[in-house]
Amino acid sequence: MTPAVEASGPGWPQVIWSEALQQRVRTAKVLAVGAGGIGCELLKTLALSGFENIEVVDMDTIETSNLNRQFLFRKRHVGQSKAKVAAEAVKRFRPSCNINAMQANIKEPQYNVSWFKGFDLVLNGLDNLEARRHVNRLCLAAEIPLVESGTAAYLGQVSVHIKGKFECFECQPKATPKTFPVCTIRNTPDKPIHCIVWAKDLLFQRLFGRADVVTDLDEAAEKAEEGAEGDAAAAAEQEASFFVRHPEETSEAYAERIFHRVFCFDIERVIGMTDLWKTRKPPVPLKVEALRPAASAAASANGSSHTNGKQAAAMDVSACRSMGLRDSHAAWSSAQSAQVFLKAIQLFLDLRADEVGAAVFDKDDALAVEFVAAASNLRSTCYSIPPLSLFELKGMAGNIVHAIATTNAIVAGLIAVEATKLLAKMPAACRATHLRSSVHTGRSGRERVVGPSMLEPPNPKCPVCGTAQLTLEIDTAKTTFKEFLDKVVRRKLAVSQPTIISDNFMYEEGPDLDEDEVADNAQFLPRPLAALPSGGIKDSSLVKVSDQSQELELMLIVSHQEQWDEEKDPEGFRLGGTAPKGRADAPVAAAAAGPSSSAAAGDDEDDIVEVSEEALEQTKPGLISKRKRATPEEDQPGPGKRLKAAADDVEVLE
Amino acid sequence: MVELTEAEAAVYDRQLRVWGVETQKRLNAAKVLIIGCSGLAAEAAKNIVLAGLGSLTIMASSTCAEVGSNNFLIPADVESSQSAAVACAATLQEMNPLVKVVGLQQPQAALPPEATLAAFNIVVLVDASLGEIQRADEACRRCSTAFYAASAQGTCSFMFADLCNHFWTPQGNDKSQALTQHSSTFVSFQHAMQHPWRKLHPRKSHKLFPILRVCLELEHKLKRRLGPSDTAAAMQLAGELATQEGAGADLFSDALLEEFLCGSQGLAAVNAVLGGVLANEILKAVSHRGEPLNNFMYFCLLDGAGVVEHIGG
Repeated sequence: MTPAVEASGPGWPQVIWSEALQQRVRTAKVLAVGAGGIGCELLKTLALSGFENIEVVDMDTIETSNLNRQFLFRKRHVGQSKAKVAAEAVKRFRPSCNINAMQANIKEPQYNVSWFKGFDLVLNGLDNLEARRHVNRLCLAAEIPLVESGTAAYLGQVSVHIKGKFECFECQPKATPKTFPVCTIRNTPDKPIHCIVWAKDLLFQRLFGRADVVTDLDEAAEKAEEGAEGDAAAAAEQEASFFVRHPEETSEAYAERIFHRVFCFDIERVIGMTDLWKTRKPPVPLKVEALRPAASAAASANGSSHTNGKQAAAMDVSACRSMGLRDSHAAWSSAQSAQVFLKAIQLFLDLRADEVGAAVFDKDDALAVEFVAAASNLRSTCYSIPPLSLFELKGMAGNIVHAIATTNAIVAGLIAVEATKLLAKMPAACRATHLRSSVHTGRSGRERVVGPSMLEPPNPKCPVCGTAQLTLEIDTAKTTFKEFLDKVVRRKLAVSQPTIISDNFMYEEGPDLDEDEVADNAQFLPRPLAALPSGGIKDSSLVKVSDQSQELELMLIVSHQEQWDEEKDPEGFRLGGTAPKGRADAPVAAAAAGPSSSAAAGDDEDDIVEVSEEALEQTKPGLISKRKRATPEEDQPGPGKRLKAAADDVEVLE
Repeated sequence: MVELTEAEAAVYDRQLRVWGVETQKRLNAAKVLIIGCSGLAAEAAKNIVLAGLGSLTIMASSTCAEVGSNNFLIPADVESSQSAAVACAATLQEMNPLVKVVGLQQPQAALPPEATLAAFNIVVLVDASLGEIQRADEACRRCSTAFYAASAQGTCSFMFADLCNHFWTPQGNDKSQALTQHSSTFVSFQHAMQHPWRKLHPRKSHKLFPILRVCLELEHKLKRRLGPSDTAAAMQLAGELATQEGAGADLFSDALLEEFLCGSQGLAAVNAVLGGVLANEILKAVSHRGEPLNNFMYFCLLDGAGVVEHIGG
């Protein structure tokens, strides 16, 4: 079926039995990125297939919830390095396989282009888009073939990327994370996720997080409410001070004061914004007195929290356990939510006081999850939104992947097949393969559960492997250089170590800079773009953005734009693209690909991540292989300033 | 049904988000028997033990020295005369202490008595000859036990499902839909093998199906398992059968027959793919959730496709 590429010798798959290929497999040096769900399966299948020189990089440590699929790990390994434990486990059944394990982030600078050049193949089993884009760029720069993969529940896919021959990982747009208008989150939620985002990103942050972190939510609210910008800072300070615990205040009194403020006072204030309720049902405030159990039995029966539990490990503190709420699949009543809310705040203040002011939400932090779940359900009650169970809320708040062993095993098998074809020097035999969940045999009596398809040639308009130029519309007088670096260069363009050149102005980041250079650079950060040296970045400026570590070079054509409609362009800039030589009609893929800053954060589970909600629901993964070229605007649903919702922070596989 | 323990909820968290608590409880009550100890058997066993079951029993006559090196459940330093089934069971038990795993060394590669088969919800026969598949399927039918067979040979593999009359509800979160009960009727392996070739689609029908029929008949004639030396005889028999069945020559692929009779155990990557699909089906069958695959699935590296085909219904 597949013609042999080499004129003589066996074709695919007979070539597998040739001594020449088997020798190549034994001696080939492969890099496996990730030792999680796909990674464990991949290391096993590679070792059994005869691979003997593997380097594996994974920064994560093993968790209990990994054990249902990352079969090389045992309960006793929880807390240890995934890469190291996996390597040792494989050697136990295949001692001839040399696996060099590194517990590290693949984006670290020592994994540079010349290091990548030391491999014959790179095989990805990653869990986040940002790292995938980074590895893609290094493979392009090093000209090393890449096999990319992803899984979610029953869906999976494998693709092969060779520079100049097939599409690179970034040739097609990646869906942007779902965002919600700030107004919806603050005033008019109508879905559980809106309440979760409020509880996690606003309230948790306010009560337990860093005081200096002002979220977009707060900022927008103050502007909206105070009108004049000058007052905003003062108002914000006043607002923030309310959430500070008074010197003599008991944790119980504090918890009740907060309850009253957010579920009664704030709700009443919102009810007063009558314009909002012309077409909607207004919320209903909650009174803490009405929700307190008659005898307050549950709380007091378990004793006060001021026991000698102060030595308890932070992650073991649980409001639910102390209240006897064991079924995480049952939705709480409002009274139960109120109890958990109050209890969680008290436990946090009493047992984890040293964390208050610096806490970061973590899906494995039981108390934090309980607090967010209770707060979210109470807010849902105000807005007549049905409550969810702790299990469901944890999944949404923690952006938890749906993962099973079988899909990872199948996908890893398919990666090993493509790796073998690459070593056989038969790129024409390589395929992109999708794994489907449906086994309907339909009327034809036949269906593909594992569906290979031809690989596409590179997209010439790809800004990463092609030659596109990008246009950037931005307010060059107001946007600071730091905002430009954070929001445009890092978040939108996934550049990790930027070098920016505009005329004679140059800004650099990276490990090679000395202290003076770093200090020199830092002074540019607060300046508006137009006030940078050498005339500044302003209308018609040409800005070269490059990343030495990724061997990436992009040209930005800047146009100054003062008027921004927050509803239409919540980010306050617009990134678009044109192919060179005046082909201005072509929208560019990368612009649509906005990785969220949290996508690469350590709170990701292992396996994939990059499957949209629709993809999860979809039985046929046609969506995954869609050939949609969207402009960034098209992907933004509805009006309003957006808040990135980490809970829905999942992108389409490819 | 028994509620999930805290330990189960913690370990199974990510899959509960895929199939829900109800399915997990049903899995936790299931008893599965795997006969065989090849690399493919190891893949399927690993996958279903990770998912959680009431119990898994593995039976095999071979010692660790006798099974192929593709079985990753057997440590390299194990005593080579030890029962392969017992060695696999030990690794699986450690992999998931929440499942009861039993390894049994069979005296000979004989099928266990029907009373033994009847004690399981599902019997899975791995890498047996086609004749053995037919006999095991008949025995399971007699005691109304659901039956799966799966084999991988070199770059080729297939699985066969016979759940007799199987009731199931759809997968997914739609509660109204989930209550609708469906039923699927399966045919025996013998019945499927007798499916007339002229009813097969000359181009689209999977090329491995006629090969199975040819090999079953040749096995029967030679009274042994086939190997690479039987390729010519199989091709000849294929020609005869095609004439007899009034089917075109397009139905048969000599290249695929050669791959199928390569004489090697399944390649690790092939085992991984088929073992994953097989495990998904076992889990669907024991939980009665999700439409089951009915009744053949083939996966071959020649085209890299995993094709489901309904034969003989």
